[in-house]
Amino acid sequence: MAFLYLSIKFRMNRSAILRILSCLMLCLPLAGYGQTDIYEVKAGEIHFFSEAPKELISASSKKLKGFLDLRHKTFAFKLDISSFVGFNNPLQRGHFNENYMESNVYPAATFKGKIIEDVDFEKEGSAEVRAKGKLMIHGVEQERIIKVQLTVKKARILAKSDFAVLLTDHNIKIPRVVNDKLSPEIKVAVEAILQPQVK
Amino acid sequence: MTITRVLLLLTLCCAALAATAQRPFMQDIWLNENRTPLKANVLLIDDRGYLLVGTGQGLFRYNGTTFKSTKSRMQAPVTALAHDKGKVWVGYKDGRIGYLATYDSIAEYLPQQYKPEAAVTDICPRGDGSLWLGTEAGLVHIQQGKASLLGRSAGLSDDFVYQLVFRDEQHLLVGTDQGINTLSFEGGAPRIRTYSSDQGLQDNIVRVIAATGEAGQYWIGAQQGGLSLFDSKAAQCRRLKVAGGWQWGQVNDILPVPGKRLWVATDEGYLLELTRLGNDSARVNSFAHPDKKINDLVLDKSGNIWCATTKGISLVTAEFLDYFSLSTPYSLTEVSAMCCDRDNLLWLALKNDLYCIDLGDEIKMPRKVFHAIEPVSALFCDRDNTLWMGTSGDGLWRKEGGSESFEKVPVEPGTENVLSIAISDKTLWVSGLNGVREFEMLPGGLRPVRTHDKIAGIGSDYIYQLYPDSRQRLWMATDGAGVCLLHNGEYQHWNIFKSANSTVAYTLTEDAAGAIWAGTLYKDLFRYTGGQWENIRRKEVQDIDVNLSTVNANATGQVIAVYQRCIDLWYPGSRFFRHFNSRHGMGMDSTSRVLNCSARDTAGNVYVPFEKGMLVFKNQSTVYDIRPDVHILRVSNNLKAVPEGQTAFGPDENYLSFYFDGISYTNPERLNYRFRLEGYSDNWVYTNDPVATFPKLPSGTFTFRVEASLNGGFDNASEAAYTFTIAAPLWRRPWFLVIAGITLIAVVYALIRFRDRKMQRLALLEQERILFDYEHLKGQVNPHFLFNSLNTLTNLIEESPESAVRYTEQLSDLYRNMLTYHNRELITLGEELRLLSAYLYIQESRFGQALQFRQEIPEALKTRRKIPPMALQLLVENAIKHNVVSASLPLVVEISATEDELTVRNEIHPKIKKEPQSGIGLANISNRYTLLTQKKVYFGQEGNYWIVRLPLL
Repeated sequence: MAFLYLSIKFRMNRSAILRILSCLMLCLPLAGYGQTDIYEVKAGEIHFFSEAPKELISASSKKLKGFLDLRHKTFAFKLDISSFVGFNNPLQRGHFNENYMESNVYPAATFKGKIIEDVDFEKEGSAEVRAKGKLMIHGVEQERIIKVQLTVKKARILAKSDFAVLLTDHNIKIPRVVNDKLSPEIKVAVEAILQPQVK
Repeated sequence: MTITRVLLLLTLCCAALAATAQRPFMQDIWLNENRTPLKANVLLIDDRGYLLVGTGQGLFRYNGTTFKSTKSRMQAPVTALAHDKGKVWVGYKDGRIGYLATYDSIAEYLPQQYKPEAAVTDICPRGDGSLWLGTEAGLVHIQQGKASLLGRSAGLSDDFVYQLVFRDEQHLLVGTDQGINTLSFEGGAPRIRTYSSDQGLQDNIVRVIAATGEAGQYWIGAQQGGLSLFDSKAAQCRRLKVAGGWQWGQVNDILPVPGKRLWVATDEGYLLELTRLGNDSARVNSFAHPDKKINDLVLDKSGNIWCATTKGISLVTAEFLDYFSLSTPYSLTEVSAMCCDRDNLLWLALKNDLYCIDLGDEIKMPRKVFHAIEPVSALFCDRDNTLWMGTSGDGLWRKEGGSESFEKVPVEPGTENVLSIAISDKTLWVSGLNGVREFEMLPGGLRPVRTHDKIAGIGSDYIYQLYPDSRQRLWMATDGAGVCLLHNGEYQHWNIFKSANSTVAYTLTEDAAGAIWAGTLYKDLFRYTGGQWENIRRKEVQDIDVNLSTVNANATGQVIAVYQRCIDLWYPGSRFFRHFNSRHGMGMDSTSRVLNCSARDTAGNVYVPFEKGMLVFKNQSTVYDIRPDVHILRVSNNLKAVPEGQTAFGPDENYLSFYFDGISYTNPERLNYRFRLEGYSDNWVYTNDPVATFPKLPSGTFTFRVEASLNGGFDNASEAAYTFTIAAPLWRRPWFLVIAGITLIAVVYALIRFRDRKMQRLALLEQERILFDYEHLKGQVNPHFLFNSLNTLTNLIEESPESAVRYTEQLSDLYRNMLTYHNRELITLGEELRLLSAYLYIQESRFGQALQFRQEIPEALKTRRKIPPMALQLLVENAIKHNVVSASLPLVVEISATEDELTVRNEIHPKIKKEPQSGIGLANISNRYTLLTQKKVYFGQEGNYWIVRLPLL
């Protein structure tokens, strides 16, 4: 069982990331800006596992970006596909990017939508909520309802989720020869720390 | 350690449960020929009976055999389907909407102010022509071509709409991500009320709203937590309790069926059959299909449940046919007798061993109860729940209800081999190899009453089945005498069983309507109603090597006929039957060849053994209609498709082809048709091909009628018709015929009139000429002329004989000419002048210088122009006749001619003594001219001259 610890902090070039995120922000209502309703991912990591009979593949990326609007209960997350590291060998990473994910054509995976449950973000504590939205991977959008564990602690929100992605759902084709090396169902684990956006 | 063991045990139990629970047949149907998965999102049975499948690649139409893709410019996946008044609406994932414009093409519908952005999730067409759309971005109301959006800003609790349900005209229920919104339209703008988890809803994500059938009551399918019951009037929600809690995941669809049951499809691939127990709890039969998610469910009119899955579509027969599997020692070849008792225990004899299966149990495990010395051949449960068991060689055994120990029934020898047992009231009948023994059941034991055998009047010693019916009659299926009825001590036989093919009856049953059914050795199936037997055997059954071994009937009127390799499920009302065999892809294999091997439970469900266990022919909560539908898909004329709605054709458009399509989800492989063209021939044409062609049709009005059937019987068949007219060609239309007739009559009349006139004129002409000839002849032979001529001749003979000869010649010329020309109508001017010259010679010989003749006629006219013969001579004669001809006063006749007329002119010196006026000379000429031409003859005095002008012709 690989558990993730988000002690590693990564630095980011703020102006660059703001430019990318400004695109994402278009889908969020602009009202509420300037207040502390908008939370931003400060540190995030995504891990995926493919448990096929003949090979176990896992990789992770720490370049998760995203926002959470507490007032409207909406969110938007984005991840560069090419940022996944930790494959069994470099060739595997190449195949992942070129053959399966086609990351030059579909560079990013996104998930944007809303939170179904009402959460009191004022109070410290933990709650399981359902995040409903459109998960876009490999250029194919799927309506998903994903359970997320939200923990509010010291003005930070810790979001944690495990879900599965079916390759067929996103039109990711697997050559027959690697049928037993790649699972048709990819397990994904996400952890992110969100903090109020600094104006 | 212990916990692990318990868990392991539990897991094993669950696995066993899944393996042996009664389960529906699920048949996967691929939407495309290469059998690749294609996600089906929505299903709809349209007005015509077609199954419409909305998929990731557009809309498909299914008739039970083939999928037809519909043409559409919109390429997005189909996510919503609805129909109203024959119009099918299609909603797409990209937000666009369309409708079926023709049977195989979709046209886009573009309301004003509608921006297709978010996926359409539901469509609700209303009676007033308006359309409600549920989309992922709110509710859209399209009225009179104009769209208006109702979203969160309008008061809806969420923009993501899953489903719309109209409670009545005034109330709309909307399932969203934030509970149920009820919109009421009573007066003006809709009032929105939200019902969410704060108001007691178990889950805010309301994916499905389905009417329960009770007014205002709805099933709510949630994303988590399963089902609840929603009372829309009281705005109350009750969670549906199920044993062990909801464990099947997100609800994707709910299909309520009659009999307080419902089918539920979940996102985790479960198909659940829920039976309501009381108000708010239900029993769940779950069937896992881990390889697919089920998105939508519909029930067709013939009782099939259709599932739209991530792979395609699947057909579930569970509304009429289920099965449960039985593991070893069960084996189909060992089954020798079956019976179900009053406690719903299914007794199953596998040769010598008797097993018991509790039908009420979730896990159907055969439990061995008894081992007989000889094979068990008959089982019968009486009203007191006593089980009677007959063996082949060891006589009769019995067991009291509740107990599990069998005791041998002491009866006299001769009943060691039992074929069948029946009990009615206090009488027991046991059929053996020597006829039927009848016993009276007394508290102390059995008292033999009599023996029914060949000699007694049954006509046979072997009775395969004894069947006591609901009217205290005993029916017997005999070997050699067909079906025999024992009623009030009398035997009754029917002649229909005396024919060679039906003397051996194998099996009997009574259906829910009281009709008796009998199966015979030669696969004939007879039905007895109203005192009449009727053979309703399938036509094609003769070709199949099968034996009809068992008939049985369930409590709702369907009759099951079991053959060795197939089963027919009859619907006596429609005279149609479902046919099941090993080729149906349901894993249904061979059935038992043992006679009368079936059982009926207390509710009336019928159990039939097959290779893997028991087939359950269930009672059917509604009368399903398994008749195939038929539709005329298109009509072509002269090989060109006829536009929909056109029924009138021109006279040369007379080469018609009709392409029809039968719809059957029951047995599409057995569809057959008959058609006829009324107005052309009243004979039905029977065919298996869905096309009919009529070349060179005459004009007239015709109705093409086609009917579809599954078993060759067309008594209650559904039909499709198309009436059209072929116009008569122009020359066959009445008005044309009338005009043509009138014209013909007019022409003929005109011709007759014309001919009449001509004849009349000719007759007149002839008359005139005869008169003229007569006058002329009279003139020539009148005594003066002759006298004068002869005088002249006398003088000439004396003076100059040569001249006399010449004179005589001229005289004879004159008469010959008269004979030659008298019957001609016209002669040339030259000829006339030659005629005249003979006459003039004679007259000049007589008068000498007293008669002078001058002519000025251009030579060209002499051959070109014509006049009636003798006309000139007549004029000269007239001049001589009326004027003085003497040397002192010579008569000068001048003849001149212009292009158009001839003028004869002489000075007038009237004779003192007038010749008698015959007065017909000039008149005659005039008349002749009138008959020949329009031109007029002129004569008259001009100064001192007499002038006659004859027109030249």
